[in-house]
Amino acid sequence: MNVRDSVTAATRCRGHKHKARFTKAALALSTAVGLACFGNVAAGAVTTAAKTKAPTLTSLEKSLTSYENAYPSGTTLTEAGSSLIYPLMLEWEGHGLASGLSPAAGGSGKGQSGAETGTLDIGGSDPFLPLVTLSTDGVLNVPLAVSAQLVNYNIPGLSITTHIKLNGTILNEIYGGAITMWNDPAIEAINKGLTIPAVKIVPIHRSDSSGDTFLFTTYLFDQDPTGIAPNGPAQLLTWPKVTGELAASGNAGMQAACVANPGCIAYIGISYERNSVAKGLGYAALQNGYTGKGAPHYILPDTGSINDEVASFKEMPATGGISLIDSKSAPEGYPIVNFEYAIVKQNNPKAAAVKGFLAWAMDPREGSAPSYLEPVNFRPLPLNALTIAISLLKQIT
Amino acid sequence: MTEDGLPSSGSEGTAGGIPQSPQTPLPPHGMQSTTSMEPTSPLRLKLRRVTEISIIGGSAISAVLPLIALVAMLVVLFLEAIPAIRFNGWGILTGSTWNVGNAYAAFQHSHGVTHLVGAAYGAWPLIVGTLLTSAIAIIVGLPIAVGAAILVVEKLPNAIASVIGLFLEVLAGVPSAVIGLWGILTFGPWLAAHIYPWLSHMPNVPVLNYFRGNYNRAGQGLLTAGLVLAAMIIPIIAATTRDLLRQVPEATKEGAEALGMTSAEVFKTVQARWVRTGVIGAAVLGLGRALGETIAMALVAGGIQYVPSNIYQGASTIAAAIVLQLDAALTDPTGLAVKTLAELALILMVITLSVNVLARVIVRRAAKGAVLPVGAGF
Repeated sequence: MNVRDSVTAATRCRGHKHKARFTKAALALSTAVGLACFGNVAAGAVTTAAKTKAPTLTSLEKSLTSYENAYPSGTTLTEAGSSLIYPLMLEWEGHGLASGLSPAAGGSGKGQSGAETGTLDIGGSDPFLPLVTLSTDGVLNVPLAVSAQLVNYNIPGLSITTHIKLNGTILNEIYGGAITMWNDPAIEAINKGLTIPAVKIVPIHRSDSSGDTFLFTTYLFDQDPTGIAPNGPAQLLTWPKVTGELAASGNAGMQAACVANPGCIAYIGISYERNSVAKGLGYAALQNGYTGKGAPHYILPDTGSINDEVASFKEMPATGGISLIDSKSAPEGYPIVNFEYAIVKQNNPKAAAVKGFLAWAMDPREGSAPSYLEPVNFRPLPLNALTIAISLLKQIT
Repeated sequence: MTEDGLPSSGSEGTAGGIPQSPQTPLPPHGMQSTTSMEPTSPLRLKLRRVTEISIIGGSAISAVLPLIALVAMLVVLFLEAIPAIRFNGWGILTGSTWNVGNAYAAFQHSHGVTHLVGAAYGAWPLIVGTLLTSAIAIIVGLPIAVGAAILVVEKLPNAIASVIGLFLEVLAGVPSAVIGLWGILTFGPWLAAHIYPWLSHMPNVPVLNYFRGNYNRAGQGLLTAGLVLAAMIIPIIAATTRDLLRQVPEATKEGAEALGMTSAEVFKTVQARWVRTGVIGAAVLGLGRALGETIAMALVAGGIQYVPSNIYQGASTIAAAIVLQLDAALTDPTGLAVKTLAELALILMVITLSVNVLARVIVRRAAKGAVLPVGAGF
């Protein structure tokens, strides 16, 4: 949908009446136009989409190794931000090139502002940054891994292995206050054959500046642009007033609030899945963006559906910034999938260390090995994204 | 140029040719000061003058500094907030929508300010949240604090009173993050489990009907926030009131007792009048803390920017919003969000300062009526 956004941005811009078609490939072009509108000079950094002359994994691993070898040992790196990537940072901490890493959560907004102002060496972020921010603040968003978001709930009387089907329209109405009971006819209509207890819904949203909110509202906006986020996705927004609603800080806070409040619904990162399930939270099968034969498809988040979603994005923009949400061309894709980003200064006093650590983190033999990613249900970057990520590392000096 | 406070100053004054100050020389204490000081005196004098000037200058600076700091803070905040003031207009005081806007779309311009599509800032729920949480804190906290102070001073034996007094003082110094954490982890859930189920069955009559309605299991919301604030201000008010009560002269109390008054009557006619203005001052001190309390409110108020329709609903305060939103604001590439937070800070300062001024007026009024309690009530 951010494609759509930047397309509107481009078409709105005076003197640039481009009729960009709504295709994923149009992203780079339209954002480049959008950038030109702002009068920014960094257009060179936003060349056309990377032509997928698919470099082999071995050649990519070779360049990763060279960055890893240049890591000055004993350097400490501070990281904070996204509470979605935080569990992965904890997995990494103390291992390999993450031996000098000191991670913290705090929300994607914190990661972004911290990296932009230079108080953090690495800012963890679920959303990519607007092009304007990239150029004016001299930062890069380097994709590190593939993540996803669950829509969790706590419905007493419903087996945890039962997955309720939900879609953007219904979620918009739940968070908008139009649907207040779990056994609402609209929910029952898409869950034929399932008896849902008559429990009052307690919608929970994030109170901090959150990439998860961004991902969630991207999905809501994409499925229903007239819903609760009419201005498009946001990390922080005024939620419609709903009786009994709750706000919580961080994914862990969302989880705790959902466990404590039966009837709750909460969007929580997939890195918390195991913990959430252990605490009795169920998660929903979500309708994806596929509109072809057999639609609507309700998809559960698992390795296959997340990979399908990511694989449907053939072209990666050179900035690395791309929304993976609600692909129209992945019939079996889970709709709320995203790249986790490291926000770093381009002109970086700790360039070698930052490059070394990031290379290590995205390296499928090292930080992105299954032993690190599987506990948090992340996936390694696909080859086209890894190619872009390495080209971004090159720009850190 | 006064030079007192130093021994044998008079004689040196003459030697240095400094205009003689009208002070009388101190007795020489049998010391031959004039001759012994003469060789070093010009240098010493210079040193002394430097010391003196620096002391006077230093204290002058220290005296003016708070004033400068306050004015500078207001001016800087105002200058920072100018774009936000132009963009938001009066809407910030009346509006209820708070959106940073879409950073991924093209910027827009209105009122001469660059902003994001969909940017809208209305702080009415925050202003209401700030005032309501503080009001609850005062309504609940003031009687408890004053009651505790009375008990400690008038009724309890000294040994117990001093122990309780110590606890009060320690409690006043507990960092607000600690109280906030206690509020969110222990106090809030406890209230929701044991007190709110009972409270929510209040009769459906004006005022009390605000106690009817849904509450969440975490107990996050307006009432919990107000009660946590009350816990913070009770020690402040209680400690001050206790000290005030101790200053009430025994003789006056005894006089009243001698007239055959009961202890309640004595309290009403003597102590209450004596401490009245001071307690108002203490309450304002507490209110000041309540209005500006940040981290505890960020934790327990619920972080929901709506005017709550019952007393359990989530709310937010200005101070909490500034903390919770700063990171989001810093990511606004137009910078308007940060400017709006500056405007919020300005609004909070105006509220706090007006409360202070108002309190001063009240105290002054009250003080006029109660100079000496003795006999005033007869």
